[in-house]
Amino acid sequence: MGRAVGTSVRRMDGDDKVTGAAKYVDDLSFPDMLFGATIRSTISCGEIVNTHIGLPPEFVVADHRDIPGANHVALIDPDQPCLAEGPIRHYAEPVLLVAHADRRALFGVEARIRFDYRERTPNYDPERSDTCFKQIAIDKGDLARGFGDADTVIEGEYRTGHQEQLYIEPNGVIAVPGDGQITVYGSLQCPYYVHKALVVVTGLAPARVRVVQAETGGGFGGKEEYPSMLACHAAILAIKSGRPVKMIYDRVEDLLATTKRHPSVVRHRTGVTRDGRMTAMDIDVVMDGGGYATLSAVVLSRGVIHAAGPYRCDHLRIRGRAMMTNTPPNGAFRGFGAPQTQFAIEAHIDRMAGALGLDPLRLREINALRPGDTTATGQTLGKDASALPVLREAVKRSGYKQKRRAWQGTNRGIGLSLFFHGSGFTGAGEVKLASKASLELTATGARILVASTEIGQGTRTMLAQIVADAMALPYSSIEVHAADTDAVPDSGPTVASRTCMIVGKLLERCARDLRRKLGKLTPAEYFTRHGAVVVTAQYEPPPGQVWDDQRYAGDAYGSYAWGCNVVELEVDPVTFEITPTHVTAVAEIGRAIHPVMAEGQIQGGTAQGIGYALLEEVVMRDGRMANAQLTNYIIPTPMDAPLIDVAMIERPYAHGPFGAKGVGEMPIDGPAPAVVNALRHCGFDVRAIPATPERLMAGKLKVEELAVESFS
Amino acid sequence: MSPDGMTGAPGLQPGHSRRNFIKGVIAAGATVSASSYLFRTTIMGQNDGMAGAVERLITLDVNGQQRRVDVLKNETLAMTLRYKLGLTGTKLGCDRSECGACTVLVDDVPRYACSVLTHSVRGKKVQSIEGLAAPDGTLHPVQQAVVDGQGFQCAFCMPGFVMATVGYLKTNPSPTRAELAHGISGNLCRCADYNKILDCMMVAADKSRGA
Amino acid sequence: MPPIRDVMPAFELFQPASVGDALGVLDRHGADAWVMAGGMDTFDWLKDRIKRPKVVVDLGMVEELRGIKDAAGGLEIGAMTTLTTVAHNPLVKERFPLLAEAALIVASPQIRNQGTVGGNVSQDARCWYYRAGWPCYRAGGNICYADTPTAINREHAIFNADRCVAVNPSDTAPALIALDAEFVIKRGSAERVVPAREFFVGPGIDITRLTVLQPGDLLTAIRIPATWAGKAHYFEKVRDRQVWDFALVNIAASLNMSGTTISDARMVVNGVAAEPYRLDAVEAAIKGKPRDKATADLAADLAVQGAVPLQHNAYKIPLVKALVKRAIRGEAEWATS
Repeated sequence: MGRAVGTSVRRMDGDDKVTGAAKYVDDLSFPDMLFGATIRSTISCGEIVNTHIGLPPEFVVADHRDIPGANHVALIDPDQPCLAEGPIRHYAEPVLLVAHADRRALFGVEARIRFDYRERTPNYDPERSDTCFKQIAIDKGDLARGFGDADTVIEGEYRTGHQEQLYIEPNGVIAVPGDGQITVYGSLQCPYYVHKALVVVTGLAPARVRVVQAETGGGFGGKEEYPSMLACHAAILAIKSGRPVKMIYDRVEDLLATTKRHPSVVRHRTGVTRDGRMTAMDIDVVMDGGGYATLSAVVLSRGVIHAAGPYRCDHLRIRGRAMMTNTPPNGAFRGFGAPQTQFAIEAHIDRMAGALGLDPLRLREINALRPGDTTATGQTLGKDASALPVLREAVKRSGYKQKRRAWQGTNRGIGLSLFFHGSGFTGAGEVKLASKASLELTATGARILVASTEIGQGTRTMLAQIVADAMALPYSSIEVHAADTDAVPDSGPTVASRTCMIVGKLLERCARDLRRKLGKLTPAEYFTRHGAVVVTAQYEPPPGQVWDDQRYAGDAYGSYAWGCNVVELEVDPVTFEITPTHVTAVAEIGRAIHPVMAEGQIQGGTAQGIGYALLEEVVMRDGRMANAQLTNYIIPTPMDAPLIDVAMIERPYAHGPFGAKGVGEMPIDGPAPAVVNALRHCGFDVRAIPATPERLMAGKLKVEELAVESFS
Repeated sequence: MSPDGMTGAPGLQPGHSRRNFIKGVIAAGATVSASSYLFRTTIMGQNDGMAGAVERLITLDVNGQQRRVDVLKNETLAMTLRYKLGLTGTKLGCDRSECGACTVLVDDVPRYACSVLTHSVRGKKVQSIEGLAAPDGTLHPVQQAVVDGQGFQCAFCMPGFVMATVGYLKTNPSPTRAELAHGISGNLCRCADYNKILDCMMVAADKSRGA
Repeated sequence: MPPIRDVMPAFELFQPASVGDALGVLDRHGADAWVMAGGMDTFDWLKDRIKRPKVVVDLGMVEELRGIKDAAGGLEIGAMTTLTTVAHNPLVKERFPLLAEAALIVASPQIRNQGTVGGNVSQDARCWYYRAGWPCYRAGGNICYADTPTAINREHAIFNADRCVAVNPSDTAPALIALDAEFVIKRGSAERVVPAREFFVGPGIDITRLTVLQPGDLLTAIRIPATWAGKAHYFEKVRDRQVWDFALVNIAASLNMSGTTISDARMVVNGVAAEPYRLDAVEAAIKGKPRDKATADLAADLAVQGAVPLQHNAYKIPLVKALVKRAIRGEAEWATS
């Protein structure tokens, strides 16, 4: 037993993916299919007072009046219309849908449709917004007492911008109408989110709505909630026309209209003793939610819970607000609020260390959470609290101490970051989700039935490994059913680093249950005698896990993964070009079910984090993305990605499958602050990302000016 | 039987592995690839009726086969391959020469199919990802190295990366890792699995030389 | 906003097989014709439907426009020679590594495989207001959107702006000017040869184009004299990302050394003005001087005289100075800066 887990078995999807046989949604076609397109608002705030449409009758045109059910995209709050009825809250808000049998006929249709607007003054500044989507307060201990115990108080403000998920496959779906039913094929992460949204918009009974995931070319959160909108649009057109409707965004539309990572402003006020003990933390987090609530409330939640970083502090106050602005809604992106707030605390730690005359490493060692310590929400950590082990391993592997000394005063810099990331939904989220997973016996083994999607991270392979070992069957005997809501139970969304830890655990329970049923029989023998059998497991919280949603206190997550990054870089002293030369990424993820895929998650998340730190900037002008092209919004290429040395430490988590926790998101929390801290080592004061050469130039000049002032 | 009161999926036999998914979809009414992606001749604003120097009905050499196809003058190779010839392995990520997902070989040279007029490849050999494996299904060494080394995640970029590598190795069969990175730098992978991709492609270079 | 952008408007397509045929088509269609070399600059314009030419003349079938041949110790490069060919050609690498380096750093491998040297020097400005179809000076209007208080203009000009602040984006153009290249232009049965520097025009001369090419003109070849063969050179390109990106600033320099002093020099920066910006004052000042720090400092100050930054591109001034210093001192500047 235990032969698949922990080994890098062959992925299930390799052959199809390298031969071009894998079918992504735009590779599918249906007879009589129409092609749909979205006509969007060209203002950021106001309302549409008149619509003029000059299209010939062969075009199918739909607006909000064609929605059979309710006109909102079901998610958390019902505030976002599927198609605008009048009020406009952001640029590129969907208003009308157009479809035609010839896709090329859709060119130029926007010129034949005109909206008369009554414009209002838009607000693009979250701190001046009068609409708050969500407020969260976390209090622990006695803040005044904590500041009273401090020798000094250090303040700082840290800013992060939008980040685009930039999956290489743009968003796309096909809606196929049937006899009083609708099926949607799509590039998506969460089949049951889309299902829920379709039920609301179509007014159909849940059993009449089917969602099937096509092969999906990357998500990173960007296909968590947005496909619900797009699926509803295609469904509206399909129902109106009675024909299948394909909608594939081109890159510009995808960049202009779909969600991005929330920009943030985080302010820290930290009381600290002379010897480096943090006695009080006062943290204010503001996130820019964009025009509609979408997932802002939960992004903010994860953000504030991680805002104090992996540090112990008995007295703290965290205040968070997600504010409305007249920009396209921001939403899920790998990390989900935690990269923003951990950027702030990790950059702040290095500034504090500088002010105290301590090495940033020492400051982290003093304050890092240890087993038995409590987090900001008062969660007592178990033995797998691995802040110190990852820190020490990263320092050792990278030669941090020696390089830190040797490079002092040169154009080479080395910086580190320490971070953690809760696996699974926050607080009572998993209990509310009540996810289910099923396992079906086959003549040759077993078939996994879950709605958890393969989006590149290796879901199918990883889940099959868990089942194989739990059933003591060969990995090759395990199949995975397509993520099809007609055939699989709702195992929850493929988000929040939950698929391995939560869904994997459900399947492990199913597998052990099925194993018991088999007794001494092989699957073939049992199948022959009894036929197919399906076992299902539903989520149950680990014993003792308690969360108080009113006070925002308690066990925020079942478990945390832990990480430490050491970034080495060079700054060209005159052009200020930054070249990251090496990254050490140490992660404690409980258990790596598939080491190569886990390493791929860490490498990929780290490289995305490097992009977030150095390259990726959404330029917003008048509420719209001004650089909506891949030559202007730039992500790392094979030439920009540094060598990343990954090391995984295993501290098995008692309630994860074979000890596993989540790995998907944590790697993107650390690179940005590590980059900025390496830049600080080179003498650059950067408190906002991306750290472009111009920002660096400004930061350098600032330091020099300060130096001049102090001499005068 | 199915759990939780779910009904059998129309068109999908119970018990489909992922590999069978597409067959299932086809049974439900989909055709893979899309001659129905419709490039009709009677298009609004289309002036192809004008006398011109270029014939629309042309023969293309694609993956070693002669393919007779009606090509509009303003049509890109990516469109022809994907929506007329059903070769959907060539992906479109940006349609602007900015991501590399559509990379194919034209006379052995990697090109962005989104930015090549189909008419300009008349008389040239076009090779797409579908034409890389041997007729018996044996994978090309580059494909095999990617599968063996698991150098992919979502893999939407992978056909482009494979074609770019195959083309690059024809000009430099023994690259250093840095040379290879430069040679295939015209392709983006947002899963950012670059280290693994380069590992695999270096192995592929070794294997290709041995082959 | 257009709902889709991946199909070009219809056009008549010509694929001539000879220069003569191409000139004939261009002559017949005049301003209606769009000359397409590799197409790397063309497709964006057409897909975005900002330009809607009636006729596209694809030069891809004209074999006589491709190739590199010896010309009295110099080289003649066909305009349709791909950047990959230029970058790897043994003659180019041996005689004019400056050009090979510039060609090798353009965009991405696939773009270099298709993009041509003629196209690279003839490409249009990248100003995103202009490319997005705003009715600016360059597009025939009477405003510059990149030169307003709220404009995004970090890529724009610091020298010689005249209403329009767009810059020339080419990497090979400054290299060819620094090599005293000449451009061969045919029109009907006539041929003219234009020094590289005069091939490019600023807004003061013609605000709607970056080169002297007029409808009916065909750039057929680039001739590089033997003058700078085997001489010292320097090329550097500063950009945000190591692939695809256009230069924020690039520099191309040829240096003729007698002993340790500079006897003659060419120095050109691009990405700073509507035409590649030749540093005449620097060239004159460094003549007879050694490649040392004093010369570099002097040259750096001279290089940026007259620079006028916009809101977001003041960084280009120290950047130009830095690149000039490096061009003069080479590795030494890297070691000490």
